[in-house]
Parts: sequence; structure tokens; C-alpha cells
Amino acid sequence: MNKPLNQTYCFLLLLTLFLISPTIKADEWGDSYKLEAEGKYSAAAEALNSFIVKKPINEFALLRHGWLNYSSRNYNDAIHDYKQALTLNPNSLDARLGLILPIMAQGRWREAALHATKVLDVAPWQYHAHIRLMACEEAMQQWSTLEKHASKVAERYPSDATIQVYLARAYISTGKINLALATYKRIKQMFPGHIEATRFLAINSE
Amino acid sequence: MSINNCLGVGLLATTVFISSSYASTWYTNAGISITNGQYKKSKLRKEAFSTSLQFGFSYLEQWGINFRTAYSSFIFKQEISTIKQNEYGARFYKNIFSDSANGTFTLILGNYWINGKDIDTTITIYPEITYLNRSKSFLIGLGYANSQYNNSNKLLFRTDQLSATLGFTPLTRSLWINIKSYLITFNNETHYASQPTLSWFIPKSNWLYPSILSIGGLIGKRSYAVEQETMLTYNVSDVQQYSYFASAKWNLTDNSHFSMTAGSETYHDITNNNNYQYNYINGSLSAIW
Repeated sequence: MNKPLNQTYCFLLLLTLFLISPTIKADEWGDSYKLEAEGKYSAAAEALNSFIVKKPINEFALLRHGWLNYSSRNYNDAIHDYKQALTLNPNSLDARLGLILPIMAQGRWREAALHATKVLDVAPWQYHAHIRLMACEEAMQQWSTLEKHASKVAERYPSDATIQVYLARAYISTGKINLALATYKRIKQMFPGHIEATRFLAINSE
Repeated sequence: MSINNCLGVGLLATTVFISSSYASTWYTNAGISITNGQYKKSKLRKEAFSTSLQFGFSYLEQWGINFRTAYSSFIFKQEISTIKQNEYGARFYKNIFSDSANGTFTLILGNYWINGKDIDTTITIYPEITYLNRSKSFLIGLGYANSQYNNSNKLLFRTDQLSATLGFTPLTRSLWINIKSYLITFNNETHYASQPTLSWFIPKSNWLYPSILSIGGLIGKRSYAVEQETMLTYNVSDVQQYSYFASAKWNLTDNSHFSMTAGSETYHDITNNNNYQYNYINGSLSAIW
């Protein structure tokens, strides 16, 4: 007597689960963003685990997982995520640019420079790739290379203070103090309160 | 020329400009070093000369191997004939980047040989592990070197060396203090020595101004010591005592360097009960590409 009733309940339960499942998925994304906003990066990454474990792997979830692992200083996990994203989509500049960050955080400057170079091979004036490559050049004390690089990129982005800072640091390290002075003066025009420029000008201006 | 061609040339030029330095996963380094030294107050020794060649390869920052070959000659007083020796070394390293330890562990394995006419053959195995924190302000290391001294394939004696390294930046990041200590045992003797070095990294440097200035020395006493950094085995029974040195390194270009070192080492010759000094000067040229 109860059998048909039980079957009906089971059917209704399965139907309800099926109908609410997209809502659960949507909540996973929402939870992840909420947790990130709260600074809980590891938990925000964990919220997306189902998207990167089950196939087909969600490419965006993988990229976001990499970013959140990088933000929570799990650099090896972030590198793994970004490399997996590159395997899924070898043309992804997002994955390649993302990959550079945890590699730089681990002080692997040559490897980071290699990936920045790979981005620039297909997108020659990609801003973030240039900035990250300059950070590598500075860390590796490639001052002459940094000077040439920063001055070329500064032509393309003349209003960008970050590039000017790299250029000024390269000038200082190669002993070109007058050029460094002129560059820091330009930075002060862009950011009047720029701490590094203010300090340098205070010490070196007559 | 069409617009597409112009764009193509533009892209190519940019690619060549950027990619030339960092497109490779393999890096090569090579260097040459020449040392000349004079012995002072020694009853036996007069002069020493050594020339060495180093080269190596590395796969990004992940692992690498370095080789060293050197030829040294020691000129003696009186009727003692000059000793000539060949030195060979290979050193492998592997970096492990740890997030939980917030730094890099480096596993090093050195293997060094010395042979020549009228000298004992020396074979050294030197495993070492170091840890450097991510901000590069603190380093510790621990190593063990075992050297075998053989004559005509017959083992004469062994030496065991424990080494501990501590490095840190005091006050400012442009200074680095490195202290390497050695505990060496052989033939029921134990020697202890400590090698402190202070390095000053000069931010403004070019081929005129040095980029690194270092002073250092040796406190205590040691015999048959092995130095992993220089890939050197001191295959002499004379006891090295207090020593000091000063060195400067210049950046000739971004990837080529020249360094000069001058120093003085004091030794005790047990057989002749003679304290003597070895004053030396060294010049090195190295490049990486």
C-alpha cells in the first residue's frame, strides 16, 4: 500500500535536488567571492573545488583557484593551477600572466622572466607582462637591460609612473644620477606625494 | 610594404628585443681564476701558483651543475722539487621552493678530486643542505664532507668534516654576515675553525665602482678542510690558523663580473715546528649567458 507513496516521495526528492542543483552551483561562486572579500582566500578557493576536480574542468574556476591560492601564499598550488589552465588552453594569456605571479613570489626570476617573454612573444606591448619582466630584471640586477627595456616601454606608456620608477632605479644603479633626477621629477608631476621620488630628490637635488 | 608586413616586422623587432635575454630555460656560466701566493717565514715553501677554469649549466632556478678544473704548482726552497697537482670538481644542486617553510631549500652534492705526481690522491664527497628565507635575510646550512687520502689506490687515512653555516642581514639589507664553522676530525685529531665574512652590496655600481666589497677571515685552526663554495680541498697537513682577506667584485656588464681578492693565511708546519704565512692575490673573471 505504501510502496507507490514511497516511490512518489523518492521521485519528488530527486526532482527537487535536480532543480536546486544549479542554485547550489551559483552559491558556490557567490560564496567564493564573499569569502575572498573577507580575506579568507583558502576557503574561497576550496568553495570552487568541485569545478576543478570533476571533468569537464571549468577553465575560469581553475584561473580563479590559482589566483586565490596565490593570494593565500600557497604558491606551489597556484603554480599547479595555472599550469593546468595552460594545459587546458595553451593560448591563454590570463593563465600565463597569472603563472608569473607565484613564480615571482618564490624568487624564481629567470623562470618568471621566461613566462613574461612568452606573453610578449604574442602580445608585444602587454602592460602587465612588461611590468612583471621589469620586476624580474630589477631582482636579477640586470640594470643595463632594465634601463633599455623601461625606456622603450615608457615611450608606449608615457603617463605610467611605475615604468618611470623602474627606469629611475636602473639609472641610479648604472650611475646616471642626472637622468635619475629628471625621471624622479617626472614621477613627482604624476604623483606629487610619491615617497621614493620625494626622498631621492631631497637627498640628491642641490 | 603592406601594413601587415609593417606590423610583422614591428612584432618581430619587439620579440627579438625582449626575448633575447630570457627566452631560454638553460643558462651557462663560465669563469677563469688565477692565484699567485708567496710564503713568508716558511722553512720549506717558497711560492704557489694556481689557475682554474669553472663552467656550469643550470635549468632556470631549479637545478644546476658546476665543474671546476685547476692546475696548481707549489715551489719549495732548498732541493725539494716542485709539486704539481691537478684538481677536478663537480657540484650538483637542486632547489626546493617551500611555501610552508617560506623559503628555499638547496640540496648540494660536491665531489672533488686531487691527483698528481708525488702526492696522495684525494677524493671528497660533500653533501650539504641550506635554507634561505624568501626575503633573503637569513640562511642556515649543514654539511658533511668525507675525504679519502690514497696512495697507489691504498687508503692512507680519512677525514670527516661537519660544517654549519649561518648568514643574515644585520641592520640594513645591503650588508650580509656569513659565518661558516668547521669541525674536522682525522687520525684521532679534532680541529675547529670559524670563517666569518662581511659583505657590503653597493647599489650604485658600474665597471668603475665595485658592486660587492667583502672582508673576512678564519678563527681557530683547521687541516684538510673542504670548501663547497670554492670547490677546494686543502690537501695539506699543515694547520691553517688565523687568516684574513679582502675582496671586491665589479660588474663589467649585466652578466659578466671581475673580482680581486687579497689575503693572508697563517699555517703551522708540525713536522718542522714552523709557523709561516701565505700571502696571496687572486683575480677572477666570470660570465653567465
